[in-house]
Amino acid sequence: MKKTLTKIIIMSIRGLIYGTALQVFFLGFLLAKGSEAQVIQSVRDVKITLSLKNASLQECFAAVERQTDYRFSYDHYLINKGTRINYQIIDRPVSEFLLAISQKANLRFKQINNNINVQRSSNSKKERNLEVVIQGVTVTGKVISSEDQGGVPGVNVIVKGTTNGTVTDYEGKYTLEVPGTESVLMFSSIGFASEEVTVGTQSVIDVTLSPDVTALEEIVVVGYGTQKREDLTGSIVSADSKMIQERGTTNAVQALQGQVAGVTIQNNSGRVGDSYNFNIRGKSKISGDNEANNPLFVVDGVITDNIDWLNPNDIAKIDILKDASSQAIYGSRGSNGVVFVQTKGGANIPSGTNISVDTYYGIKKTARLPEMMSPEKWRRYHYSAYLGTTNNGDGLTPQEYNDVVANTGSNAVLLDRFNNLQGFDWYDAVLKDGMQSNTNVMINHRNGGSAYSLGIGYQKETGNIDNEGLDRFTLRLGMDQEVNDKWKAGAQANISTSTIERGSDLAMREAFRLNPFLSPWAIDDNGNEIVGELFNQPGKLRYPTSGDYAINKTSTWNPLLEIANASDETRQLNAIGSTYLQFTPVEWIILKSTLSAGYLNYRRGKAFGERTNSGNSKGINSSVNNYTNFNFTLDNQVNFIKSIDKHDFNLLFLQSTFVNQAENSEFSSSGQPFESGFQNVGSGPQSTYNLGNSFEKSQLLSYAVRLNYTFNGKYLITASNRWDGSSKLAEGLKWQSFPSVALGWQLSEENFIPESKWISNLKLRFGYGKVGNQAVKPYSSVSTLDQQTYYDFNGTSADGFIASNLANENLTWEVTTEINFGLDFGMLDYRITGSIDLYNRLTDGQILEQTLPKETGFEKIFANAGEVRNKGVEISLNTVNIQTPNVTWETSFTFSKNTNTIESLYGKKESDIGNGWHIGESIDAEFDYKFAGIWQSGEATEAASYNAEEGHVKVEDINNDGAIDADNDRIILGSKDPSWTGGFTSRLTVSNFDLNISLYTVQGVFTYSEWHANFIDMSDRGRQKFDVPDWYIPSNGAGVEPMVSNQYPQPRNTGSYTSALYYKDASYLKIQNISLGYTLPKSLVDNVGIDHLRVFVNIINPFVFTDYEGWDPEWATGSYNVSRVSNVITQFGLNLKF
Amino acid sequence: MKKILYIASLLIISLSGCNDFLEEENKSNVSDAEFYVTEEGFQSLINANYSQLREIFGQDPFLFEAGTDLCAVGEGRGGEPLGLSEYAELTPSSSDVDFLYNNCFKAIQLANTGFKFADIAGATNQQIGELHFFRALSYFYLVQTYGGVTIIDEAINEAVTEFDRNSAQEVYDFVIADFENALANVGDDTYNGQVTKRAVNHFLAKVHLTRAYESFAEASDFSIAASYADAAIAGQALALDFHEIWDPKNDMNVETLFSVQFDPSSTNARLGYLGSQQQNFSGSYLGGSEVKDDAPYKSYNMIATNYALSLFEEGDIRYEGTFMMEVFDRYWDYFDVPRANHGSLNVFYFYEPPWFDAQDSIDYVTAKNPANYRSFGEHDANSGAVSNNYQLIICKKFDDPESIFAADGTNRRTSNRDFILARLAETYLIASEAYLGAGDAGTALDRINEVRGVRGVPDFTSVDIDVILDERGRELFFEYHRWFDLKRTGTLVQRAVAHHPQINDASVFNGNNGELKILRPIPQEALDLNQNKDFQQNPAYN
Repeated sequence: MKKTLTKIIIMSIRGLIYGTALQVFFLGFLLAKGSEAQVIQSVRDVKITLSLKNASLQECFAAVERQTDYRFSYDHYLINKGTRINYQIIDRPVSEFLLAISQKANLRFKQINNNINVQRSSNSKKERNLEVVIQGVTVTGKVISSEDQGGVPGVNVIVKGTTNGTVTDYEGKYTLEVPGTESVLMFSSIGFASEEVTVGTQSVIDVTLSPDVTALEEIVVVGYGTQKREDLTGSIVSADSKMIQERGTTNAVQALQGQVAGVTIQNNSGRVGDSYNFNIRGKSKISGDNEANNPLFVVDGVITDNIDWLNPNDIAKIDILKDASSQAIYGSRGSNGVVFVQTKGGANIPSGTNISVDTYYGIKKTARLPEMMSPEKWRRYHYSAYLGTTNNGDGLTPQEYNDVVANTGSNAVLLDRFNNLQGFDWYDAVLKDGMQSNTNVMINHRNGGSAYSLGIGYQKETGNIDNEGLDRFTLRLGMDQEVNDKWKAGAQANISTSTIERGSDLAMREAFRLNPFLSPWAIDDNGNEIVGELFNQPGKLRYPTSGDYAINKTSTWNPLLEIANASDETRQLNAIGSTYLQFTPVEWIILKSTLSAGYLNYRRGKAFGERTNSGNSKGINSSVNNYTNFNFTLDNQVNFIKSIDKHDFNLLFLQSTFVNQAENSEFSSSGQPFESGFQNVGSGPQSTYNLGNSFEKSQLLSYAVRLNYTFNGKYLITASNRWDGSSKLAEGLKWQSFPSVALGWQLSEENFIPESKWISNLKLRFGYGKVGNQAVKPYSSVSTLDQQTYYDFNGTSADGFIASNLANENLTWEVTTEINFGLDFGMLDYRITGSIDLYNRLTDGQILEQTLPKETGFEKIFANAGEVRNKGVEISLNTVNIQTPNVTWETSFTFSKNTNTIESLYGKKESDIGNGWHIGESIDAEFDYKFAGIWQSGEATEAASYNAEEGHVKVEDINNDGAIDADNDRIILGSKDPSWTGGFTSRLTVSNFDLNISLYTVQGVFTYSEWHANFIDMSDRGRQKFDVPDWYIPSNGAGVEPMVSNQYPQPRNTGSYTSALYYKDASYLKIQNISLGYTLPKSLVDNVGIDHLRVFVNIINPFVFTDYEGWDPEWATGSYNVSRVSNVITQFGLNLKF
Repeated sequence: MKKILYIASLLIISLSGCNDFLEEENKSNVSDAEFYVTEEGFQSLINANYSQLREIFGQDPFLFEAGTDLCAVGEGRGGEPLGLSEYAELTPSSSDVDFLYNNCFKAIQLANTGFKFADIAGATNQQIGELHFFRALSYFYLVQTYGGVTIIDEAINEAVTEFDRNSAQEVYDFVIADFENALANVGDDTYNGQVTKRAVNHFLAKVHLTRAYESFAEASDFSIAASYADAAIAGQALALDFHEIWDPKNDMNVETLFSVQFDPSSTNARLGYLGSQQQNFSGSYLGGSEVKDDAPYKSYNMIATNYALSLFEEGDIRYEGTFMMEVFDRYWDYFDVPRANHGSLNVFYFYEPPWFDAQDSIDYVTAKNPANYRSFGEHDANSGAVSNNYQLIICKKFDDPESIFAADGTNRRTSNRDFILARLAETYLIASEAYLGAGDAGTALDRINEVRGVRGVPDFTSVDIDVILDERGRELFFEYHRWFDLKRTGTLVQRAVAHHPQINDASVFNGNNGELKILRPIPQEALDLNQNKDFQQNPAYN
């Protein structure tokens, strides 16, 4: 303490001496130059007289500007609009006034010649809040950002070792007088890494600044407000537009994969237009689909189900609230985490007008296709598939066997093809190159207090099979208006229309199930293929004239016909809009009302033509589903912001109302007279009409209070409580309170941590909080007659209405409690930064669909019946490895590990095997028999004792009782939850070139693979198979050479436990993308009025490392029916700015 | 300050009325308390009770027919649950064991919901009677299948997780009381789809007959059964030709006492999901969707055993009435072409009847020259045949030629044929069995010969239980009675071992504790979900 005091005194004295010396210098200069010279004086010397009452900061600055030559420069959003100054000063130095303001408004001033640069200050040491720099000789230049190649305004340019400096203007240009050629210029700006350049003989020095990865000044959305990252107490991760855009994905969510610790993002199918699972800190929902674990998405304040419909290029920033202490302010809504999406525009728009165009076109090629059986191999498989089950499995003669297998009478063509090994490549017939493109135009404009932003985008994507694609238009509009000092208003709207064609749900499946001897073509009477003429059922091939079977194997529909004649088209409109009105009656009070609304409408039409599987049995049929969802939120908030000495307070009161309303209607018919897609459902016979519509509405009413308190810039406390009432819960149990408290300790501000290059920043965080969930269908607590039953009395219909589920009159909130410890650090002048978080979250009273005892006559009830724990660790680390004017290289790593366990069910520590839920195990645990090989011929006796035979799948007799039974021999085999995930990104810039590489790894995924269940299903004789090296063939009299296998059973004599074969490790490492960009030199593009032009090539998913044999390990856990093959996308694009 | 007041008042406004704000608004549905108290609402609940019958009957046949002397799995194409058809692997987790347990308890809850609202809704006697009938019918099937189960006589309106077991005797008492209440309340109109007194009499006869074989039988059960059966017959003689009874358009014939109704007017709303699938069973696979319009979908389950076919003698019109002896070019030709013109059609498959001798075969081939001739012994479940299409004889009684082709596993409920639960011929056979049990063999003979007289076969001169069971086999083949008939009469083990091709040894019935696997096990899932861990499994499975 003593030491500090001494230091302060010495520094003050030094400042005084410098100040005096400067004054003397300038005095001399002034005298020498004469009176016509532009006089630049220190704020310490220029005196003013002011009397301000209840003045805003802008008014204060304007007052000074009126009396002096000084001009203030600052970023609008850094200035607290609510601060009000009362100050009287009579003929005293400007500096005195500035220091007074600096105390009140936490600001720092820096005079550079006549420019006074204003910054936010976190510095409790008063004298650091004013700096004066006045100088002499001339260098000019422009500072541009490596991020967007635009000029950077407000960059401090200082001659190293002096206080001599200036700031760049709006375009990033500067003029500075320096002492001599040996001078070194330092360029620094908050949010950017500093640069140093030796002046030498140059008179023009252009500098490119890279964004500073530490970004402590970064503004983070925390729910009903923002905070600087350095003031955060909770666990919040962010991704900016650059991170999102550089990945080149058509879905913003996909771009976050691996980039943010603690968030698992996974594609379920690989199909165009399908959603991603977005999971923060593990799953807490035991039942329900994956979407039940999706977080709350808040786009510009509007709640939406997902952000799939946004154009990634429109997104300015995504902030993800991971821990309960930060989520608690969202109380009821926050239990799966909250994802804030800010679209571009709003208050952050810089002055002037700028236009940017970003576009790319990508070619999507299939990749890493699993090897399937060759015709020869499949023929052998097919033969061997008949041994086990014909003639009781024994003693076929070669002739009998040939008769049985080939069944000459009705399989003549198949026999021919067998003999000629005439195979057909279904991959080749069905798979195509796809494409994707995204073009986005953005116009920003600011003029004083008014700003607007406009974004228009068009995305197009097609899949790797025909009749599958997406078209999307997006329109974004933002405006911001400062009416006067007290009133401010703004509005933001995002509209998107999408058309998604999903084609036939069977197409892909059927294509790869057909065996290689079946071709899509019809035949003539001689059995020769008529290439080009598609045949409905290739496995039931007939001669045209006689109608006799030429092949009689399988009824599978021709996938090419299925693809061409089935449609599943969704046309969707998403619109969100929000407006706010802000009123600052007195300096320390801000009132804000925000009204936001979200609208979703889609029409999903399905149509099956005559030549599809469904059309064949039901006739031409179609259905249309219309869905509309409208929700609005009205938030009224009051903020009290006050700093008293070293105490900073920010107190928030909030009242929020949310109403969600959905309407759904569906109609369908079958047996239509002509093919009109789904555009004439009424053309079908009236007797097949099926009509239905429904309505759903729910309301939430909430109150919240939150206090942020900072002492001395070092000790941070956030405490909040939210009360929520939900219409969906039972009478008397609708309300719940969600408290939270979080503490932060800025260790690096402490004196016992000496200021050094090694430790630039060190902060400890602790958070505790509760969040709730009421994710249950409305009307679950009331016995609602929501199910129609059908009957008739001798042809007179007699409908009935019953409740589908038992109503729960005691349904209440599900509550998650979480503890989070975090450490943020910055080292080596922020060259290394990162954070570590540890958390433990327990979800209690989880609302799940409890299966009821059969005697009740009901299947399910929504009950508060489960307890799930997620705990884990998250690490993120960013390093700036090289930073020179020409070369920068940054890398970032993320690591997340989460352990998920079911703690109790229905109030007891007993597993619910029926539902697959095991106490102490993950929600996603795989529970089954354990594969132990294939019963070999020498083991026949032992096999028989297990009711098995040679060639059957053998599973482990876990309890060694000589029998396999469900109760004792099934075990936890593993879990679909990854044991850990990690991401790595490298960004290298060399001169005008940039090279980015990102990779993502998911480890320890163990899953039942539907793909394998289909393609190594040895109980089937007629479908295509994965190219397995061997399978079991016993010795036989039918002339098929025996084969030993300990991995795959005897075809069609597999035994009962084949499912044990289908569990696979689906861990993987993906190189997500490699992009190479080149920015054209300014000298080239300047002439044509272009500010910045970058061209790039980006390869998505070029390499995947995995042991998984199916289509793509990422969607190994998903449904096989709609899954698609892997692909590699090569994009070419450009970024353009005017 | 003024402003602060203004803000405060704004907040107060937004706070007030918050109770109203959180009320749920449901525009598309009503609650039970609002709807079931009205006349229309209560009738809709009654309709829902009827609709539940469609879930119990006309769906999976396995608990009703599998593992008996008449039906066995066709070789080569599985799908028939092994446990239920062959007993050795019958466990509480075997597939389909839970079928009646789940569906009957649903029906019971629906009936109890009816009783809950009956008073307020001002239910009619007919409606009260129907509710008693549904509940009794469900418990009757439960007690025969699983033994004693939980008696629930009130609607459940919260998550009850513990249930006790009642004894079989208590359940029978409950069933009889319910049926008697039904009888007292329902009307006596001509059958039009609703429960009538005759139908209730039929079931009361059957309940008493069934209980009569139990250890806790009342001495009078047989004679009470006989008198209820006579009451159900109500003096009506059998008059219809067997073909007429099973004509696809004649489900509502005068001999139907009660049936589960199916009609396009109520099943087209969800094609393939609301109909019956009775027609899909008992026969060879006939091909996939490529045969649509030519043939129905058949699943290769519940194939007639050699014994079932051998029961028929020459002249018995029921053989041709039950089985598709001749398949013409198209399967559906049998129905689409008038019977009188069948003689002119090409025969594609011919399935030889049991009574053919060598000369009959030669005569038939000479006359009809069928493309495929299947000799007797080669087209039944015992033949060990390969699973080729049309390999085995097909039961055609339930075919609906107007149904769409059952495309796949999820929408096979395509038939609009009514599921006949009680018809007059069976009532005669019940009467015969009841009189026999009551010691009146003469009347027993009269009743059974009433059936034989109209089927083209000579009268019996004496009657015993085996004679009656065989006659039931001929008359009621695959009408979802057989397992109950054998279980009731204590002949299950003996007949299954004697005639079911996959059951060759009585030891397959050996369960735990020296008990035979006669009763089905309480489904494992039901035990797992019941938190009363003292709820006993049936001894053979314990």
